[in-house]
This record gives sequence, structure tokens and C-alpha cells, in this order.
Amino acid sequence: MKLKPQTVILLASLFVIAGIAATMATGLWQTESDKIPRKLTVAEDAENSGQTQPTAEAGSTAQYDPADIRGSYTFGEISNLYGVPLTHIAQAFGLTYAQAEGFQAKTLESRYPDAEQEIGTASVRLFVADYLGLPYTPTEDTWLPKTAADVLGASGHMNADQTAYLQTHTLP
Amino acid sequence: MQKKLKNRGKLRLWVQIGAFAVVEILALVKWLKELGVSIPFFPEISLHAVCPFGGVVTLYDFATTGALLPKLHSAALILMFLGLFVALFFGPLFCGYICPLGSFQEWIGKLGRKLFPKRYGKLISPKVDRVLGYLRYGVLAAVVYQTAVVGKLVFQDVDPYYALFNFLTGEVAVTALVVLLLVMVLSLFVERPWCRYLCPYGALLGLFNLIRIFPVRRKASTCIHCGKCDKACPMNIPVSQKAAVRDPRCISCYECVSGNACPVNDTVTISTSKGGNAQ
Repeated sequence: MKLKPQTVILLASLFVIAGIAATMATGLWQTESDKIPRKLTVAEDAENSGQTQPTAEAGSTAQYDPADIRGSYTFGEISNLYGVPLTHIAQAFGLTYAQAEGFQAKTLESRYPDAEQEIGTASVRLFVADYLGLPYTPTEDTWLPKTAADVLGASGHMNADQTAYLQTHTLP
Repeated sequence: MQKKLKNRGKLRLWVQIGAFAVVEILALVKWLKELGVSIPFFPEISLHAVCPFGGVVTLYDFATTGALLPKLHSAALILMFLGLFVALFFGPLFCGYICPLGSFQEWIGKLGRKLFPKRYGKLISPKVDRVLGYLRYGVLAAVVYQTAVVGKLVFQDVDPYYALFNFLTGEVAVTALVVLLLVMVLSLFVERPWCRYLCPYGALLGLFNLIRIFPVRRKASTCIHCGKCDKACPMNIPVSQKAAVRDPRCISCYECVSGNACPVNDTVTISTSKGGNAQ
């Protein structure tokens, strides 16, 4: 069986278009985040440590996982999803309430252009985790500005490890 | 007849221009949205969402956690599967017709041919070219492994495709811009240098040339050995010495086939083994 290049292009295009259409019709096709983070669930072996230690697991019924905060999330959305007051997030990162509402986490870096360490989406994840006292293992060397550390000091629910980490990872 | 053949040759160019324009428009709409300017009727889609290679690098995460890497969406995974299925039949059609970075290099190459006619295509010897061609498999393995370990899109920091369409956003790493610049300069002397030596997605798709159902085949009984198919091949594959092109470097551009470069009807064709061209 022989095909001409035009036929190949036509067949391939039809197949790809049909594939996209079918996945769109079935709701599988997504080109943007549904902005529903993964949730944490309480591990069954938590009693060993004497306290509940949530671990990340999709589809469970607990608190959203701070590690799943995306750069596209606005501070308003983070406040709604995680239950951290927007005033505290705004205060932590030096914004007004009005600015914070639509402020995307990924644009945080541009607010601290001269910082010795990067302040970005990972910092927001760390802040939310520390504020709520939820487990979060920074994937990189994650830092917070002093304003955020002050908010956490006043209103956060950090455990001893989180407090210790913050003492060495707060920018002046 | 001549006009018909000429138009056929232009099909690829039009498809390439169309694909390039779509990606450029998506990038511009997204960038304008970031600046607070909404363009009506144009969807705001990030390039990560429609990059099939994103589907490849997130496979490990998807298989182990059920979640995709940050910045990626299901569309990337779906496009990857569709692309692989098409490659199973026709080879890396994505490389030859759709990939905007490939097209971009090709267009710079046309300029290079005019500016440096004596040096174009002769900078790297065929032997070295062949050895360097294996580099992209190393890149593919390294990118997939590193992404699985780190859990984020590590390739973005060196990806010239991302740099090409996002340099306005200020989100592009300097390393990616440097790679893009190097690719552009090299494209003046070498045909599709990124595709040849470093592209990890091209490496993966290229493997499908070994098993594709419709390879490019040459009928020896009617071949006049003019070598025009060899000259037309952007990847330096000696088509005139093969019964079927099973070379992983083939990008399915079909520049070599009868009606394009091959002057003899029904001699270099796209066909199954039962199509009558098997030697």
C-alpha cells in the first residue's frame, strides 16, 4: 500500500484532531490547572511518632498539600484553598490586601530582585506549611523574607523542626 | 504538471508556517495575559500544556504518584500518546512538519546556504556527524532521569524551544537563551543542528523509524541513481543506497520522495512492505 505525502498529512491531522476532540468530549483534555491541589492524608503509622503526620496522597479527605501550590495560583486562591487569611499572606510578602488578591505566586521572585536567596513559589509553599503546621520538605534551599518569619512567629503553628529551619533560612 | 509538483513541495512549508504561527500566537496571548491584556476568542494556553515532550518527562511521576509535574496538564500527555501513535505509522512526522524549533532552524539554514554557500553543510564531516547523532539519546536519558529525581521541568532551563517562544516573558533561564543563540548560529552552517545532535524528543520519535508501518522506500528497478534524494535529505541519510529508510535520523519530511526530489515517478515512495517496492 502506497501513500502520498498529502495523504499522510491528512490522515495524521485527522487522527490527532479526532484524538483531541474525543478527549475534550470525555473531559480528559486539560490545558490549564483546575486549581485543586493534591490533599494530605493521615498516615496509618502516625501513632509511632505520637502525633499525626500527614503525608501527600491524591484524592483523600484532608488538608490540601502545601507542596502542590502552583506558581499560577494567586494569593487569593491560596487563601481560599488553604485557609490562610489573605491579610497574613499579604503582610508576609510585603503586599497590600488589594495587591495580594490577584498576585500570582510565580511573580513573587520579581518583588525580591536583589535578594541573596530566591524568594518564589517555594517560599509561598514553605510559608503556608509553616503557618498551618503541615509537613513540607523543601525541594531546594527555600528561604523566607523577615516579614514572613514575623507573621509565622505571631500566628504560625510551626513544630520544632520548622522553627529551627526558619532560624537559618530567613533573609534579613 | 510542473506546477502541481511545485505546489506539493510547498505543502510542508505551509504546514510548518501554520504550526509555527499557532505556537507563536499561543505564546503571545499568554504573555499579554500576564501583562493584563486579554485577547478575545484566543484561548490562554501555556506552551507546556501543548508540548508532547512534557508528556514524556512526566510519565514517571504520573505512573508513580498519579499526578503530573508542575506546569503540565493532561493535554501534554494526550499529545504525546497521539504523537507516538502517528510515529508508529509514519515516523517522526512531528519533527518534519510540526516542530516550530525544527522549522526555525530550517529557515535560518536557508539563509546560511545563501550567506555561506561553500561552508554550509560541510562544517562537520559525515563520520563525526553520525557519532554526534547519538548524543541526543544521552540527552533523552539524562532529562528523563533528572526530571524523575527532581520532580520538576529541569529541561526548561536549557530548552531552546521554550526560550524561542518565551523570551519576552522574562521567565527564560539565561542558559536556555545561550543554547538558543548557539543553535541559531550553528543553523547557519549545519542543517537542523539541535534536531541532529541534541533533541531528546526527536531521539525518541526517531526510534519509531525502525518499526514504522509506512517507511520511505526506494524501488531499485526504476531508480536512475541521480542522487537527488540524498541531496534533498536534511539529515544526510543516503536514501539512494537503501531499499527502505529505517534510519533513526529520518524526520519524515518526505523531501526525497517521487514528486518532490526524486524525478522518477513511483520510485521513492511511502509504502508498506507489501506495496511492491520491497527489494
